[in-house]
Amino acid sequence: MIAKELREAKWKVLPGLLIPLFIALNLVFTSPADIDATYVAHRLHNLSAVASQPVSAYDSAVWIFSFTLNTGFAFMLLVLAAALGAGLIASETSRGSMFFLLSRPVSRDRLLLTKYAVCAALLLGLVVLIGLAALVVPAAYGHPQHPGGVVISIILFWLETLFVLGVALVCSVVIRGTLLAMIVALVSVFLMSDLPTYLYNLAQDFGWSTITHNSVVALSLGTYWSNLDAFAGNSFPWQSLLVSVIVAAIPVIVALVLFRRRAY
Amino acid sequence: MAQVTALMEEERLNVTALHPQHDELTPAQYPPLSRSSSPAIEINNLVVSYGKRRAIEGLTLVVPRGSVYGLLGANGAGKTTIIKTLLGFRPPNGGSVRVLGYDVVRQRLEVCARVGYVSEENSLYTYLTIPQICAFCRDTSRQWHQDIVDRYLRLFDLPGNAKIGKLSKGMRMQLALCLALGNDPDLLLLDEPTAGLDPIARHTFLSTLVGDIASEGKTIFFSSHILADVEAVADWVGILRSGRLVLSGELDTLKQTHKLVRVTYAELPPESELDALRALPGVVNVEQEGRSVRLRVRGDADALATSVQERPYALRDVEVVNLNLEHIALAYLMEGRP
Repeated sequence: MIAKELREAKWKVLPGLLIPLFIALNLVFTSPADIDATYVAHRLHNLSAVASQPVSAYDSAVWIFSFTLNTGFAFMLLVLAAALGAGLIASETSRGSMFFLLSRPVSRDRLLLTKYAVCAALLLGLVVLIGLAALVVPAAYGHPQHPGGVVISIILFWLETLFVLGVALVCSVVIRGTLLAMIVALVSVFLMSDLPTYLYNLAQDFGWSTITHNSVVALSLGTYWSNLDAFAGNSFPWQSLLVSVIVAAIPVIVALVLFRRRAY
Repeated sequence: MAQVTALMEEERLNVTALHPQHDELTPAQYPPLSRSSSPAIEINNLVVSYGKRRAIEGLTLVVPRGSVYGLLGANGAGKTTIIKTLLGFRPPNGGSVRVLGYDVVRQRLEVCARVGYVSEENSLYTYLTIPQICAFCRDTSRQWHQDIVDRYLRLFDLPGNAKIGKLSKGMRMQLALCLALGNDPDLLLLDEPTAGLDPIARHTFLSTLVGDIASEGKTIFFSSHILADVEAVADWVGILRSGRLVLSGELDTLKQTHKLVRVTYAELPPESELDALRALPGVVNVEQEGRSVRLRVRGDADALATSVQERPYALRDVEVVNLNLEHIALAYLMEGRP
């Protein structure tokens, strides 16, 4: 069963291997000279204060973080997670193989969880490759990163991909078409992760805001998944980990309940 | 028309009477049966709906073990819905369904472990090879007999390592049958297995069903809208129309009890005479062609022929003709159509 799921997922995951590759190349082909105080200071919006200072560990962490987990390439991994999750059930339904699958003496829970677990493992593999790039390439340039911080950040990023995978799985159970399920999943993830911040900024622009920025940040899931302090090894993000684990588990539970009840 | 419908309903009840232990009791009062002695399929008052539309309406059906049961019906009659319900894909909205003694809602996995299923949509994974799909089936079965699968793969002359996507539709259906037999099932559920197959593939498929699988004592329940296929392999037949089972019984019994009485009048019979013929007991259907009138009869056709001869009209000839399944089925399937 796992072999079949791996065969099914490989055509989506093989292009996904390009993501850590591009991230690594992006780091490799960027000159070490770029990692200077001015560049980092520019990113920190603090030009005058640090212009003549040597690069600190935190500065290089900011730089590496922005080139690994905070890039468009990393976002592509979320799209890949949505594509994987959306196809898990919807593709079986649309091509008619769902009847063959359901005729096997295997519980629906096991069917769904096996599919989910295979995709989660594949995403973990890709995320680990990104983590390796974030550790090895900067170390080669003389800017070694905090291993524990990178590991924690990679786990948080993996949990983010699992949330996307789970939401896409729910959509896959409910919606028959894979593409539609993927689009609905991505829109749903956006609404749940970043919409509060966008609405807050909009309200600020119009002068309507009566709520504090911190409360809005707490409502945005993106806050918990992307933690620069944790990447730099300055803190252990208990709250982020806890929230990320819970929000990654919820859509899977919802998908299980829906799939158990779904009539075909 | 109402009388014909009433007769069909009576026929349905008569079929249930073939199983006297169920005729006199409500389902809740059925005596407990051991699983090995229970019918292969036992459906009581089944209702299945798609939203507000009822696909199956109060269907009651018993399929004895070891039988080859052909379920006939037009497209959209509810054949596939019944098979989906038998496998637990779709829970019933009313009534109860037991397969091999197991409740399909509460014991779905027990049912699936003992049933082989071949789908109308022939939906195997096209990106897998035959050995790969065999491995998948082995991993998801409680017992797997690769020797049985290999035997039927050789019988159908299927290429050993071919990718499923490269196989023809007939070959895929044959492969699906091989896989369905891999867990040595007690019951085979085949949903339109010969639909879209060329005559040679159909012949091979059906002859394998009858010659090898049925002779091993397995129960086969298959749906089809091809009358010739059902007549070729089935020993029990059910006719489904708009979600209702309008006829069910042993094929031989149905042929014995359904006859055609051909009446030729000396002059064109008036409408009142046709109405009188329709009112005769056992007449299912009356068709007129000039001076000739054909009565499809359920029951004692000879007695009916005698009573027709006593009618106060000049008759030229009265003849009792045997019917094949096609004639019987069409009479029921066409009922109610303009």
